[in-house]
Amino acid sequence: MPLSGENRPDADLLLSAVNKAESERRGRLRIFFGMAAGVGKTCAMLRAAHRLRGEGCDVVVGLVETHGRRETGLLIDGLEVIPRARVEYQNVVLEEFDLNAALARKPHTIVVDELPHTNVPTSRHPKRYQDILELLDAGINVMTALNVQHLESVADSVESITNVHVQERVPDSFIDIASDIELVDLVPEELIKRLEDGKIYAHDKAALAANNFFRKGNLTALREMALHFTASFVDQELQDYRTLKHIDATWKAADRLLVAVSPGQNSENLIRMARQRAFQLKGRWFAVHIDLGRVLTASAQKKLHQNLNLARELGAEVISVRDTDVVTGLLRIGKQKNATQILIGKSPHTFWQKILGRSMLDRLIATSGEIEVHVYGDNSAAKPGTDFIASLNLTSSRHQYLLAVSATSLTTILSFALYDVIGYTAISLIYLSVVLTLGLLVGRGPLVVAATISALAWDYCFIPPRYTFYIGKLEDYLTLGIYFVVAMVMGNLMARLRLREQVLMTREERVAAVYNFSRILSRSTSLQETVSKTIEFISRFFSARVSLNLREKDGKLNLQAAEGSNRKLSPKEASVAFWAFENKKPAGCHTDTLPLAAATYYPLISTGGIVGVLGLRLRKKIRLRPDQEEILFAFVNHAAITIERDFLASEKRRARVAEESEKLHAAILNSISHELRTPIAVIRGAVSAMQLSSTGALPPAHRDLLAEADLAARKLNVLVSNLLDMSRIEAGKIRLNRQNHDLRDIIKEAVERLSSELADDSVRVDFHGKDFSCNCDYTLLQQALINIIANAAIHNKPQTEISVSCVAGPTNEIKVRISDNGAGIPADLLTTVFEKFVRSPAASPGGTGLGLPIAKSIIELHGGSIAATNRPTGGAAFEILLPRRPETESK
Amino acid sequence: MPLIRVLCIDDERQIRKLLKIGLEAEGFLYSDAANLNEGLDAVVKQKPDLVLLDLNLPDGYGLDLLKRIREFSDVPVIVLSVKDQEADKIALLESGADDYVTKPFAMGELLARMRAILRRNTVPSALPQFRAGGLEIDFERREVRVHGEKIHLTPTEYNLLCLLAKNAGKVVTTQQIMREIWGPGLANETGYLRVYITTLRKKIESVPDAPKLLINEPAVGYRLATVPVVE
Repeated sequence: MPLSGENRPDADLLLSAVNKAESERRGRLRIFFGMAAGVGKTCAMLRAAHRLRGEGCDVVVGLVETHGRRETGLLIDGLEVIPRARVEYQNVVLEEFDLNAALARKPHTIVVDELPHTNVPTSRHPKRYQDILELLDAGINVMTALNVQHLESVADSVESITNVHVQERVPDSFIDIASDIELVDLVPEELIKRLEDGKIYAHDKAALAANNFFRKGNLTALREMALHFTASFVDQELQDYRTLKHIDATWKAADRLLVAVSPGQNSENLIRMARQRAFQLKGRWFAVHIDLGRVLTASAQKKLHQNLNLARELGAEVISVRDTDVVTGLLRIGKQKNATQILIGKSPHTFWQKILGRSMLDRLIATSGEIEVHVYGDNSAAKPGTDFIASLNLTSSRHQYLLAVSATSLTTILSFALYDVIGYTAISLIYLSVVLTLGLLVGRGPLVVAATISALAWDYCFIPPRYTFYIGKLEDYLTLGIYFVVAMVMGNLMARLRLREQVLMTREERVAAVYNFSRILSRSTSLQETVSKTIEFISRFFSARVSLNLREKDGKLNLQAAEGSNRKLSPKEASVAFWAFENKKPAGCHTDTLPLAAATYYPLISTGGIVGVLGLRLRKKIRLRPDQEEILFAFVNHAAITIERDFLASEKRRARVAEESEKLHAAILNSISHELRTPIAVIRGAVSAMQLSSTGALPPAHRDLLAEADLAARKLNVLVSNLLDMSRIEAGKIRLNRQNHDLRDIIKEAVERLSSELADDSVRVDFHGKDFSCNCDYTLLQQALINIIANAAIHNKPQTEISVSCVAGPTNEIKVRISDNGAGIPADLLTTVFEKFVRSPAASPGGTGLGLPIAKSIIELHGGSIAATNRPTGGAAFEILLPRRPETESK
Repeated sequence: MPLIRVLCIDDERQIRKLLKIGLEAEGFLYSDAANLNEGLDAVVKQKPDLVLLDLNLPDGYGLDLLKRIREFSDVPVIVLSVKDQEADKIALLESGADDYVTKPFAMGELLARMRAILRRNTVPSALPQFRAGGLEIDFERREVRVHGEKIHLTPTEYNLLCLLAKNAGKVVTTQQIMREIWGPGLANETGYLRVYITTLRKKIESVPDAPKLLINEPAVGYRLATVPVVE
């Protein structure tokens, strides 16, 4: 049984629903879906674009093919169109959708027609739908159009119905990310009529198209498919909604499907079928390839990769393992992954199975236990007759055959020397021992060859009458026959034994490699060491050149390969690495993105996100086998986790240093505050005590001296307070004690408290507006205002007016403007006036140059801003914009 | 009039010396203590009429000492604090401190605060009337006069003024006012208080924008002055 309970939603399902909701932050994909060309998808899309534009959205046309249709051309008018990129390929200039221009333009919504289009090979992605994925990732909404026949899962059915080959296909998983699917429907008769009127293709093409494709029968079938697909999409939407909103429904036990993938033609259909089934069951599915250790021909290997990639594209988790037997391999993975169903293609019985009467399928069904086994028919049945050859697995390398032939030839030559001594019967034993020894070294094919050649050579060269294939005696017939059978059976057994041993060895090697790698990484003590060890190990393991780019502190990828990399990145290669980093997907050679690159780039993804990119360049761009790729993924994962661990460790070190310095800072602050303030308190207290009349009358000169001393002590106190405030602000130690206050109270009291400093100046305070309530720190904000007004008082021409005006509009901001009639701010100080210790040369000595910076910091802590200007009529003006509520709250 | 005994608890020798000279010159009987334990001892043994308490003591916080003093004595306590300790000030006032003076202070200001508190304490607590700066409150008749003229106050305004008048010269924290007048449920709606203070000032102050009676202690609370404020 699967681990998750029967009535609970599968965690993966919930996750995928949440992911979909989360992708709302990404662009929304809207697909206009139709049964065939000409139903009006492009027009519908452009009309929607106009509607959006009418609502004030920023809509642009990335690419629309008009096919010379007048109606469509008219609809483009009035929309911004991104010019197409001109791409030269094999001396032909082609026009393509300009992805970079679209990303740079970053509109709200973009229209990109013809979803299944295949790009020019030099483009970034081979397929247009991949361009669209990138647009969506960049947060751009996309509208696009698609015909039902281009869907991967229905393309085959379309081919068999219409007899038209569908070359451009879109994976169904792409449709899953769409937020909306809009079906554009038309009655087949109407479509045919539009076609005849020349509204779809130019007239000469129309006849051809009508013959092949646009027949009423075809169109009806396509229409049914389109309707059916849309309905199933809507059903999925509903399911997602249920999952997200915790609507109780009858949850199926989570099904997990396992589909067996082989290099065969049939496998492709099987994968599509598995995908549909998984989709219907809302289950996870795995595509499993069992590598029996046979050497595959180049075309078979390519086909296998295609099949596995197809499965990956359709949303399967791909697993490739080595095993001696398909049945045991499948069941092993099935148990590991808690599979509930195994899907397998119906394979024709092989020659041997016919003889032994027990097919692979029989054994699978017999041993599968709880797991259901589904067998799918094969519509491209292997031709009989190839059976026997195929069953022999004659797919060993050439030098194995060479070894088999030369070993038997050599034995024959040797036997000539021995013939006179031991006679012809014993020679068969020499041959037999050679064939058995070969069984330890070569595969089944070469073994059959060796057994056959040796039998023939023995007969021809040694069995009397010699040098003919004719055999004189009955017992010699019998001996030859028995020899052949024994050689074949024993050789085969030896070969199988060897294969099993090999499988075990590779499995062990893999485990050992991963273990070694993790041991090496766990010993590394620094990031530098981890990086160089990773590069060294992987490059040795795959005999490849390896580069590693790490994430910088700002979260961007460092385009310089890390120290220790044994390849340098050209700007072009670096851009591939960058893509892999940004999109968290492998890119480069043998992938779908920028396949012309020299190396393949794998993102290093750990639990905390992506930490870097590993570039692997193999000799002659050979491709990794699926099982090798899997080891690589294991290495990459491990490296990512270790690098993140090192990142965290260095961050922790940094944090500790910061913490230490902060402690020191606080200690210094405390000591300054205590050590400086106490003497000031004593001076001020002593001076003020002497000034009191009750301590006795003083001569006028002493009285003046005491007044000066008192003033100096007060100034010193302000200086110390300012210094402390500034360092507190800079250390981020100041916390706002926000409460609702009336700004008028704060301003009035600030002016009131400044009355002694403002003796020479008159201050005019006026308020405009009704609501002056403001969520702020009373003391700090008042201090900021006091600092600014005091500054104005210092610079103001005596006997003139300082104006404080406060304007509270209906918006979230209150404006306070403080202006004086002084000399104004010198032009070169206008930008630096709020910096620490910047003082106007005109200012009277005694200030600290800290008043304005403190005021600015306090206002900015409140989320406000302050600017200094010179008034046209002379004097300086400070304008404060203060939000009534903190930003986060007002949202 | 008997000599008034003042106990100063401060760890700074210079401050103690300054206060000794300043206060003895003004006719107070001065004694001091340098730390928390000595201070507590002195309060018990000397039974001072007023305590000047520093916030930071070498063997503990002034707040802890204040709480322990309040367990057995109602002696008026003025806290000597430094700037930027608003939160501490509020805690002190709520724990029973009568007032605070920020260092560095002018001797005149300290003396004025001391006298205000001493006067309040010598007058019987259930006084039928309050009189200061032209303001008269008759608690029995629930009447308020400004410069002899009767003014009308709403019940909430009157309650607020009474609360401040009964603690005249002493800072009442915003939280205390909120609890007393509006109840604990609305303790955070300090906007109400602000509005009432504004209307009260319009009714009792001669220049509402430059209040001389209803004094705001920024971020701490309000105080009703018993004598015109010394700046």
